[in-house]
Amino acid sequence: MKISFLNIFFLLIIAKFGVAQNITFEASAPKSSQTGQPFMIKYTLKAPKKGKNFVFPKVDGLEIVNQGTSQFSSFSTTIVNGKMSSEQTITLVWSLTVVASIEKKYSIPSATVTVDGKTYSSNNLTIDVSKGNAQTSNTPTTQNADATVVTKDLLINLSTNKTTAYVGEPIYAYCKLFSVYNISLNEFNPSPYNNFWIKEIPMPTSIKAQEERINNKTYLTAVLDKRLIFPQKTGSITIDPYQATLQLYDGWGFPAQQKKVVSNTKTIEVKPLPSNKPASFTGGVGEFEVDMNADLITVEIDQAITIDFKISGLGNFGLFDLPEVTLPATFERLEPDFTENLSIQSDGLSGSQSVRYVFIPRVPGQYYVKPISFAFFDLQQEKYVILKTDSLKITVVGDSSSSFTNQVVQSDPTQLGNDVRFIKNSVKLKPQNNFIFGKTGFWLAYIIPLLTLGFLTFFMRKKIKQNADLKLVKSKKADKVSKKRLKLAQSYMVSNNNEKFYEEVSLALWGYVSDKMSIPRSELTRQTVVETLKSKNISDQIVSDFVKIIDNCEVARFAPSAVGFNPQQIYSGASSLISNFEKNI
Amino acid sequence: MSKIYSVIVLVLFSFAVKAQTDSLLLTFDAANKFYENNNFQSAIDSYEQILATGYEASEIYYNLGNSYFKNNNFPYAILNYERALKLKPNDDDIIYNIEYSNLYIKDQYNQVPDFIIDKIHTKIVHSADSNTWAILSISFFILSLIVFMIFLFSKIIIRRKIAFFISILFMFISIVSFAFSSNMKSYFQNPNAAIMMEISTLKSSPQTDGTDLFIINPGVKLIIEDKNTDWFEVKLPNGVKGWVKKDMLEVI
Repeated sequence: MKISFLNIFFLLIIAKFGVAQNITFEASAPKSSQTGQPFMIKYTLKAPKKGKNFVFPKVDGLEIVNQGTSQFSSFSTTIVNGKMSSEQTITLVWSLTVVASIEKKYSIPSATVTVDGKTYSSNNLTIDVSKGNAQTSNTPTTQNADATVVTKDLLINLSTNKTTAYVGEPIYAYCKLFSVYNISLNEFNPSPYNNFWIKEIPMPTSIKAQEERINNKTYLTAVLDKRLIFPQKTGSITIDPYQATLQLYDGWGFPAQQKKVVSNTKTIEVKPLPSNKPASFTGGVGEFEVDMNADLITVEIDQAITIDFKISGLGNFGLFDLPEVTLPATFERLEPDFTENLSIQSDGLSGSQSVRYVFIPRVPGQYYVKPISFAFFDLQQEKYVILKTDSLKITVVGDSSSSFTNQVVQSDPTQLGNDVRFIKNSVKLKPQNNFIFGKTGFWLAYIIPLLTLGFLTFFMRKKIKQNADLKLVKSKKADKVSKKRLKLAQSYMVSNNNEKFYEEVSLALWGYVSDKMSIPRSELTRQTVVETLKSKNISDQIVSDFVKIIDNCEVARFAPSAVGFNPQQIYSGASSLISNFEKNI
Repeated sequence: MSKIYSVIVLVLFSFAVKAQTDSLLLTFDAANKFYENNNFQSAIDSYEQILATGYEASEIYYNLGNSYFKNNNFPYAILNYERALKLKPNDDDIIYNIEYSNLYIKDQYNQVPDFIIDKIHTKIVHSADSNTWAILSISFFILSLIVFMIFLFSKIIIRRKIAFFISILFMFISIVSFAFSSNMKSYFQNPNAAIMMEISTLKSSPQTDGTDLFIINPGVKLIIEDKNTDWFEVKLPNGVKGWVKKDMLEVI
């Protein structure tokens, strides 16, 4: 038991001795450097325990721009005299990035560190710093610009490559971070870019910071956001600032405070495009070329033709419409296929956009694809340029009747909508409430013709009478008058007044003929009556009866003694004669 | 005879003089342009401007109705279509647009069918305006007199007989046209129909506290039966009669 105790004690001593032996603290640095050129000094402590209170000596002319620590530990196991022992080694590295501002030979005294209460010193270093060009590692162009911009230790800055532009002209805008501290980005809000159309330039998922020397200070810089912006309206447009929340770290890489930063704003003067826009201008700004071609120029019916239209160049692709390729309705057009091949550059989008049309001809014949014009605003020449493609001639061969008619499937017409009918384009204006009816002129239009007629009738009444009315009335009345006379005669016959009887009968007959035939009384003789009757185509029987009765009456009147006259017979003869006459006329 | 002709010519000519001022036609064209550019409010203003000068035409009311329709003001659209139809009773487009606009108003009534004889009578009377009937009446009156003179002065019996009958027939036509002209004049001077412009109630009597019969929404066409100073007695399309405040209506 004793021996074993001693053994353990001995081992512990060895172990302790071994630890004491293993502690190393070394400094390393490049042998030479240049002014303005950052270089790294490394202090490596290897010890079984963590070192504390690292002190870097102050050296004039050297500035620490960045420092950090890294730590790793290792176990080593050793077997001595069949006994196994293991020990831990912790390696701690202090890395200091320093920049020399003056050229000279720097000697850096030893740094110190405390391990387990004991202080250890590193070796000394000497570095030969020659005159160097501080800008060599950075882009000189941004350096000068940044020098005026970077006024704080921590800021984000918005820059554009132009401050005046035409509407639709591509502008390159980017946001850059400058920081003298170790930072990480917590939150980042790009500007909304109101009144601009934006095309973002893709950024790597993790942004690597670079070191840049500006105004004799070393900054960590990173471009956080890049994009192409295209102004959409004229006038001076202010770009709203970017905003970011940054996490700051202390010298040893531990999180310190959070800081919110807001970038500057930027104002762009946007000029309108000249007003003499060509008809085919759809908004293109830049420099373009157009091309149109067909895969076939002679096709069979129902065989598809592909027509490609392509615009290539540099400019605001996506902000103008592609012109349309058209063919007559005898071609069926399939949905056009749109492709683009664009890359984003700081001076615009470059590449091409193209549309592929597929047409299927249905009717044979010769057709032309009309030349397509495309106008754009050339930024170099500052004027509109019109491009025109060649027209394409397409010949379609084949028999139309077979295929095209098969295509038609009849159905009810499809109603798409309903609306009121369209307005009328011709008009005849009339005064409102203008009525002729009831006006003086209206009444006069009746009265004047009526009075005229009245006067005419009055002045020409003789002629009117002569002409017509009396004759007609007499003719109509002749029958009645003669019948009246015969009635009177009959009454005489009853009263045996023979002389009066014969007189009335003959008067009735004479009067009747006179009225009916319109023979004036003065001309009334047997001769004229017979002639008139004959001229009016009265039958001979009637004429002879008339003459006979008239004669009998004369004889009876003037020679009453003569016998053989029966008044009854004469009366009936006269009345039958008149009724025959009426029928005959 | 020459005196008669000169009277006819004078009368006809006085009607033919249409004071068509060019500026009104230009306004009309401008209003149509507004309509075509979907600027309906400006179109409405221009058409109303023409009507304010005291001139009118079926086409102006029709186009105005269309503009109101496009502005979603359906009661005014129907009012102006009805005014257009009053001037051109057989216009197919106007009838179509009235029917179509009626789909956009709230109240849908079952129409009481008119008597067929009434319908034919109205159709004949309305086939021409008052002035056309007046000219027709005067023309047939004069023709009738001329033909009557043929009757007077002709010696040939058959010609006299025919002239006499034609003269009577023409006189008849003249009298009928006279009546129609008078009808049409009173039809335009005393409007017999109106369009509801605001939502209101149909009352049983011309009093504010009269019993409410129906709610009438804007756009309904009402037949005016009677009126007093503030109220109209009207008939709804479904035949119901009642009284409505005058300022709720716009006469056609």
